Amino acid sequence: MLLIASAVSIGCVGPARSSSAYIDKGRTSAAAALSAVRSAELATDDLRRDGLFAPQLSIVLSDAADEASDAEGSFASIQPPDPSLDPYRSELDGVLGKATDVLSEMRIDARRTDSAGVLARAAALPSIAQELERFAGPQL
Amino acid sequence: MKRILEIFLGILTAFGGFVDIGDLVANAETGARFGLSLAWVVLVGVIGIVLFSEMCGRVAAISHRPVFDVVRERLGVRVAFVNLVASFFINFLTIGAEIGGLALVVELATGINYLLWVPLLGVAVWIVIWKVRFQTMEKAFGLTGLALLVFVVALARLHPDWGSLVRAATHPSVPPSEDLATYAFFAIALLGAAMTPYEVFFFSSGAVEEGWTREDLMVNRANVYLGFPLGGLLSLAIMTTAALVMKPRGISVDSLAQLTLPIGLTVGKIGVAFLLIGMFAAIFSAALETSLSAGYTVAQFFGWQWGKFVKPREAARFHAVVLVSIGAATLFILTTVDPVKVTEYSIVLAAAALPLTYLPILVVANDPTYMGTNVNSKITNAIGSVYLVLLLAVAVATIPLMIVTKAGA
Repeated sequence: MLLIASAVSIGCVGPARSSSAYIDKGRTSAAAALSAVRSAELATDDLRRDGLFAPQLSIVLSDAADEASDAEGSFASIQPPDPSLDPYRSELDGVLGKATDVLSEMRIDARRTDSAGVLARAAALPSIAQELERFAGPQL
Repeated sequence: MKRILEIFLGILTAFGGFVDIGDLVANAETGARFGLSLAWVVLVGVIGIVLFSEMCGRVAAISHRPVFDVVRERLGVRVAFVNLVASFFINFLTIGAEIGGLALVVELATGINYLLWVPLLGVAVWIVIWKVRFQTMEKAFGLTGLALLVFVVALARLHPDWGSLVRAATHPSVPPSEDLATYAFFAIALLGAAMTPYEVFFFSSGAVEEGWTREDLMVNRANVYLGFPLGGLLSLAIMTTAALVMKPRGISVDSLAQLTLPIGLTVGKIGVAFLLIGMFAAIFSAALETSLSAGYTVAQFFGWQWGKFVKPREAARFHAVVLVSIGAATLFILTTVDPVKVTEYSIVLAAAALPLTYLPILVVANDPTYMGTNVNSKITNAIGSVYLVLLLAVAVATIPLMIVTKAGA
């Protein structure tokens, strides 16, 4: 069991040996962050329709912030295989950071049961999602 | 009239108790990721669990002994021991997953961190097992689990194009964004969730607890032929809701909290309240079943007195195993391991061990020494044999696929 768990977990993050592998890892991180951002968007849709109680909104946003932060950390821990990918790294890193920041702020507002604050910050989500989509590629 | 009511209640209980945390997680994850292209696995899983549960119920009603007890006697200590070790380990993971899942549901309702609820819920599970009558316990939680029908309401409110849903479910294909190995891995997870071994151990021991006889064969058939397929439809409703709401948005489901989103969107707060009640009841019911199954398998293997139909003092070792299993699983979840991840691993490993559970059942259900004239029909044996070949293939493929796909990552 431990061997299996190790084999599986070791495979989660690793160094990128080629440009395509690096971009692949970028795509995976962007897709994870995009999923978090879309989750938060759906939660705010629910909030507008009065479809969620405060604890569920807070937990969904908290999970989304953690997921985006994990994606950001995971991508940041991989070194680009050659300098030509430095601009790609800095651009994606910036978008992932933006997603993490907005979701973290939404989490704080949700914990303070400040629905107006959550909705105000959610206005930034569609443009972040659009930027992440560029890196994640088609998800359907 | 009383008999009809009893059968009807049994069907509803089997229906409401069909879904547990494994089904909730596996169906929502696959729906969000693969749409309905894995819906066929739910059908395969439901037919399998119906087939083998009916055999287990029949063995219990005719021989008045649970399947595990008969397996040890019929196939010997070694085979039964391998079966015991594999099923007990998976069962232990499942108890942990259910107690952790319960805590997550309570966290969703209260906003208080789930780890604070874990010990309290472990104690609650044990108290219910200790104090509440078997039938009361089974029916109360099974029937309350029907609140999960809110997924069917949500699905109706989404006004889907039913024709295209049926087309997607009946023309399965690997989505362009996924590879075949990942598709196969999720198929195995779904099968493991639908055919988890504890279900048959609990079903057959439960039949003995309730004192089933030859006259109860009708109740057995009604429960499995109607209750389980209805539960399968509920699983499909969960998968379809996730496919319609989450997949188009590119949302991957990796927490129970996300299940509230499509319900809140379509049914509103009242729907979310039903969802939380339904998830709590369904998962609590499964926590009771898995905890009892731990006691059943160990006590039946060693030939100890077991069950809730005798006073706890007379089945002390059985209750001790149940208590230790709940305590250890509670401590395991308190290590902060993610209950959803534990669920994912438990259903996949369950799939790897399926032949160990189901082969002995097929052998016993064909033995006239125990079954008299009520042995399997030729059709049942033919379908059972096809399933065993399938389950063997699944068992061989599970671990390699888990490694290759990084557990479906």
